[in-house]
Amino acid sequence: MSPDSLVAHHGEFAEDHSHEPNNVFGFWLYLMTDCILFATLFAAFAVSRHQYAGDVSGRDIFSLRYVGVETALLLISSSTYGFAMINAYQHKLPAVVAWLCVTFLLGAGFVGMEVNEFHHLVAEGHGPDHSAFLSAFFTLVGTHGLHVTCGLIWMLTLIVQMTVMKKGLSTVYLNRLMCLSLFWHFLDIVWICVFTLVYLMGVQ
Amino acid sequence: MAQHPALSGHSHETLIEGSGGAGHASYRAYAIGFVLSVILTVAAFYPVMVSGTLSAGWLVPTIVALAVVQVVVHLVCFLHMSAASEQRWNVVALGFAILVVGILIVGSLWIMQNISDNMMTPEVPALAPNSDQPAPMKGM
Repeated sequence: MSPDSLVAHHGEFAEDHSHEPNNVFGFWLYLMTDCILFATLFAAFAVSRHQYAGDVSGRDIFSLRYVGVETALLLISSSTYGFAMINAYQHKLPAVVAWLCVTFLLGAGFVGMEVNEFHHLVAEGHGPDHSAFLSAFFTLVGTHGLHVTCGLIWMLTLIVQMTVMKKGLSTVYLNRLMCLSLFWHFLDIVWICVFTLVYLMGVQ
Repeated sequence: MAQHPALSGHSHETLIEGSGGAGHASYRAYAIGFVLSVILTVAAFYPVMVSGTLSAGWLVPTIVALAVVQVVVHLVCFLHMSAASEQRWNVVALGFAILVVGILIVGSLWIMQNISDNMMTPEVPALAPNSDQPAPMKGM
């Protein structure tokens, strides 16, 4: 690394000695607060997960096979996003866009499956207004699905900006890609807690 | 905007080392993380879907333990958390978040269990699915 590039490098990262862009650290702090948001929903679900009010229990409405496919989609999308990041570091824009598109499709498949599950529950008369268990279930899983949807919109925005608007893989866009990568992996971690507490423990 | 001169031509290691938990990205880390996650997920789903592989008492502790291990695998392999000094503030923030999350969840369960034990149970004792769970509370 030449001295010139070293100076430019540090300027770009706001004189941070650990080479860490502050906006990425800021985004990490946001994720920690998001963690607490999810914790409140998990706590609400945990205290009301046996309050069926005469309506269905988890055993009646959950299909583990279906949840297994959702889990697989999200886990594979985490890996494909990782491949997009590796290519981003190597400045291979076409590969980045290709992996992001794969990630987008997997994420969209996940959201589609979740919307389908919700639609079936409401159509069969087990909407969120029927018991404390169903309210907590729809709120927790719905909030996660909403986060994934936001991630998909963000991903689509970045793809359009980098390709159609020809922004390419500049430092700014690398940082944005990295923030989205943290967001996407974080949502996968939340999903691990969801399928364990809600689905696996719900069908006991 | 053209590529920043300082960034082109460097490997990712020098570029974004340790930033926001996203340094040291490599196919190897993602492959290890993916394989471990698949094993841990299947290990959690299998005993629940195929009855008789684990006794009822061991089932919940096992799947909770598997979930905790998988979260750690994701943090290390996908978010690249480590004990490196560049990561210190990320880890401090994560530790504090875990503390708050723990207080929230354990506190909520503790308080609600107490309320249920002291106030609610006499109303609908017959509907309790089994004795170690709080009775269903209508309208809660």
